[in-house]
Amino acid sequence: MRRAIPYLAAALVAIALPLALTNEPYWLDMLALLGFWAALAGSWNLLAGYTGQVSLGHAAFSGIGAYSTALAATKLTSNALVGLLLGVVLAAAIAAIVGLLTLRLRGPYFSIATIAFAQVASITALNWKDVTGGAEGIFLPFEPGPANLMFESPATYAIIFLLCAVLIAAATAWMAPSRTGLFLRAIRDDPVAAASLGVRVTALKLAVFAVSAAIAAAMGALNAARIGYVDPTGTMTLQLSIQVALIAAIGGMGSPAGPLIGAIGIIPLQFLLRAELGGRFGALYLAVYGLLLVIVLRYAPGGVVDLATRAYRRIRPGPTPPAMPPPPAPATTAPEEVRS
Amino acid sequence: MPLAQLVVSGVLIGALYSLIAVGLNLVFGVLRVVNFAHGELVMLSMFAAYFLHQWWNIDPFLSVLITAPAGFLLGALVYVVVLRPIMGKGFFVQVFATLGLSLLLLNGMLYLVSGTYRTVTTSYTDNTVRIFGTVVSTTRLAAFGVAVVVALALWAYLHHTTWGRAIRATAQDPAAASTLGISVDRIYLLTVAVSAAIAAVAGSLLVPIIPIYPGVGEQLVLVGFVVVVLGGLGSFGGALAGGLLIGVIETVSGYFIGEAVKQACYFIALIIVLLLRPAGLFGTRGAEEFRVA
Repeated sequence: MRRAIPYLAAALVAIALPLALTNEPYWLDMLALLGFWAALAGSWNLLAGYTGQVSLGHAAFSGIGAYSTALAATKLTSNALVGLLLGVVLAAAIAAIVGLLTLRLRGPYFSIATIAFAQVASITALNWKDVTGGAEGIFLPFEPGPANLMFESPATYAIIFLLCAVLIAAATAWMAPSRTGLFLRAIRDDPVAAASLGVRVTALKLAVFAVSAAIAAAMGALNAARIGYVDPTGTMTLQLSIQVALIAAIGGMGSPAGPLIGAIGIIPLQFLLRAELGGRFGALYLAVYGLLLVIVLRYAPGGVVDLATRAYRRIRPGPTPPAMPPPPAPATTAPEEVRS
Repeated sequence: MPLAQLVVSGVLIGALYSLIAVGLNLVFGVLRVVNFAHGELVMLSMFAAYFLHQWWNIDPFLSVLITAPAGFLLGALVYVVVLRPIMGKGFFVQVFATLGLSLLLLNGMLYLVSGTYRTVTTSYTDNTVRIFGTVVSTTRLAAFGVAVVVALALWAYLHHTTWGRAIRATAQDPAAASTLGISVDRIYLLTVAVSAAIAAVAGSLLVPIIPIYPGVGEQLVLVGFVVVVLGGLGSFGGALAGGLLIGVIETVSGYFIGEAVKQACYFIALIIVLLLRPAGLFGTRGAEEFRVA
């Protein structure tokens, strides 16, 4: 119960904050985006932070959700909620297939495989014009109503996304100390040892990958409804996949609140830079991200949460185990030569 | 356009992919770091060659003499600033640090020069020669020649010089190498510098062939990854062969299926290779999957 308190407080803030700012659409948009990115990074963190599989193709799954919603809203029914559910199921199924094929791969191989998969998805979205509208994208008709995930007030979106982000962080916090969470961390830190102790490594990784993809798809669907427009560059680029991962990495991988903290640090910055720099912001805020990432990792390889945890321990060394285990050592492999 | 023509032009462009992949592989083989910013190093060199051509009318082929040493220094700087602090910190940290560098360079360039495509046209751009009954652009043939020479020079360097042998020794066993008096840190520095210099050469050679824009590094590094995985992470010969193969796959699929999906073709090729033989065609097995019975 004590664990839940910070999350209940966060949930109250998530509801109160947008309502307190009701008449400022600009800030409400920022809050909605903050929630969106925190939730997306949270879903990524489930996979990467807890099983050690660093995916760099996560935008493919949120893209699948976005496109399902757009297609449902324009071609099947006018009901975006159906699209969201469809996208969630589809993303989970695709993740299971991709996972079956790729989850046996180690670190860099898995990352490269997920990039390849996401690129194929993005090229498909760009070229399968009959369905996706190609580069022009799809406009969703604005018909307010919960069934369409469309709301008049930007505050509603802000509340929904922030609640999603808090919910995912809370669910992660609830899972982490559980039996399953323990199994996952065992898989991350030493898959061979975990398997030899009876942990069903492949099955668990697959399940987490599918859940992670499903959450990402739901977020993509909600965001598509919020923006009312879906296109390949806005939903399925490598840059987006990287942004998901780096928000979690800056906040702290493998910690429940990490992605949330990363998003709180980064998304407002994006908005500020956009306001300050006008037209060419698009490039510069990402450059600042890159710089931040390099700096954070140089001085705090475990991210902000890890840094804070260690600072706290220095002030109050307690008998409790550290909140976040150190990142796993690289898998030692047989030395290879650079052969000719 | 007959098949022979496609294969020849694929091989010619493939040699440049090989150069990019060799640099990636060198850093992976020695430092065990996948450098996601490698493509941006190529991109920076392309812009350097482009501006040298714009301002002082320096031929892109001649600009290699400027971009390669500059790349070497930049690589050394990248090692000291970004990579040295994270050596031995685990795969996550290394991925994100190099991704961060890649974002910084790509978007910094985007901010400085905007995203428009630029091209370099030289006096010999439209010249062609006939080889094996196919018509080949002189520029591409010359770039191929330079790429082959650079690859051979690198091979000779790694095999027949003291420093090159020290690099290979460090790749095989850093601990043993350091007991023999090799400064592992210095070898890492040298490796990243050499890798960046080769990336810079590839960049200069690509200038007359493909459009120059800040995002080009992303495209090239993706091709580089495909080549590296295909050839086997850490394998020198694998990177060379893989590059030529991907070049051919690209031109042939581009012609028969369509320009738009040629990229999808080599990503699918990559996925198939990862499924069948994740260590790649020439890689050492055992580093790529979790051996869980």
